Amino acid sequence: MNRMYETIYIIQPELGDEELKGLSAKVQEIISSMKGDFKRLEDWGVRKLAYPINKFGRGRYFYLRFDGDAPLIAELERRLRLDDKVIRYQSVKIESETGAAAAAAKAVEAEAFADPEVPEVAAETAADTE
Amino acid sequence: MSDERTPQRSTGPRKKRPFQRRKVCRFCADKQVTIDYKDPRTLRYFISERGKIIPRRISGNCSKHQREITEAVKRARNIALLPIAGTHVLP
Repeated sequence: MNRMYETIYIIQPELGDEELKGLSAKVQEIISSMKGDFKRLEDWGVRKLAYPINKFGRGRYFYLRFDGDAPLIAELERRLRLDDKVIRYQSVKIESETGAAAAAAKAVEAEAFADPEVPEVAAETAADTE
Repeated sequence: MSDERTPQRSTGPRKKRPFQRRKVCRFCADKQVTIDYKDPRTLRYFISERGKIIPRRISGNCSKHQREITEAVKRARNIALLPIAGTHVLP
């Protein structure tokens, strides 16, 4: 039985285009090989992490939306776990299609985070004083 | 004198409870606002400066939405959209 899932995975911030493409292709290949239904893959860009993971202060977020079954999730998570480039992942079963608004909000924030160091610090302090 | 005063002081503030307006759950009031763990901006409102989830008696949420908030905050913490405790600093 196919259920709707979404997976967010965070990879190391400094990777080349080829590695990004390779990873995306790998993920899609896993889904298709396990008879899943790949919906979409969004790149949220490099964002600041709320806390450092594996000494990375920032990471590149990917949002993956697909339908599948339990063995597919198990295999996907196993592969993500084995990949050193992936620093964190989380799969969630969803009841209904969401996320257009949320993704849009994300994109705006991602742009803000994509700025170089100095404006980011300014934004942080502004958030603190609020 | 002091003996008379002390009980008065202890009971005084208790009787004089400050009037508080009954808070309304903002998610019940506005159906457009959805709770999503991918949206840290909305969730920020429901965590304290130290990153703790604000209890229902203070935030004013109804039990259903408070449960959803709790789940969303915990998921967001997992993928580093929200801090686990306050603001962390890189060493």
